[in-house]
Amino acid sequence: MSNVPSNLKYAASHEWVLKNADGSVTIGITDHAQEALGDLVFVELPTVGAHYDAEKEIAVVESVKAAADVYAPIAGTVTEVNQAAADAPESVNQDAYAAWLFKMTPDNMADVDALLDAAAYQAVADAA
Amino acid sequence: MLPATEAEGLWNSLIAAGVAPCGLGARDTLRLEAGMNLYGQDMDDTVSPLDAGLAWTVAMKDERNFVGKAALTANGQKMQFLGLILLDKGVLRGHQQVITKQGNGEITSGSFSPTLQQSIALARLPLGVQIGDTVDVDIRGKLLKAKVTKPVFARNGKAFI
Repeated sequence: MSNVPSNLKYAASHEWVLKNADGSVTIGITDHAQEALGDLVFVELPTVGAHYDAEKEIAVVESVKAAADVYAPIAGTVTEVNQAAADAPESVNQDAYAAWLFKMTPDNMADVDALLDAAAYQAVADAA
Repeated sequence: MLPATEAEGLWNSLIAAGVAPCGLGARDTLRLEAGMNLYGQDMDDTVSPLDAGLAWTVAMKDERNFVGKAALTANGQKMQFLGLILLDKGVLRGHQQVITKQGNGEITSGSFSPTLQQSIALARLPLGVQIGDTVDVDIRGKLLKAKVTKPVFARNGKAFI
């Protein structure tokens, strides 16, 4: 059973979203996603300052077995990327919720609230 | 062989004895590091053995005839089958385009080599490309640098390059 913290919001495409006090959100891939992919060997991060629409490809994570797109859970602008995750992709396997990938300023904070809660995401992950 | 009813017990005994379960991903990594072709990926019935690094399996210099010899002789070698090591960060994958001074080629299989800690690939490249050349690989629209190598990357679990 994978770990789905209740303080986060989720996209059905297996990203987690944490609301920060400064109005930004921190985004990574879920424990379920890292487990399904296996040992990660490469992380491609978005460009700081770039704007993405919701559900657009924004980053790439590759394991030995497969390359998987990471999608923007909400529309917004990238404000920061976690270079440490790109330098050590295995850190995402070790703790998918500590090894965040990027931060965004959402166009609409309401979009974040409309994402899945932990129980709803757990149901998605269990069905996969 | 084993009766199906005994399979679960044997599996559990092997696990208990410390045998590591190994799937197709591990098998694919091993054969790629060893430079062994995978049918359907590096070779199939549309590719000449001369273009798939398999010239050693056909007796072209022998006087004896065999089915297909005339076609191989008439067509000759069109491409060469070589290895690539990615110099930039990323992962080489099958069907990525390889851009060389002599023209374009294609990766037939690629992955990350745990032994080399770099991405490796087998590729069909234009004639004239030399081992040691640096070429570009198109990965999702970005051109990344790769070095051309012999199509063998590891032997006995150790780097062979």
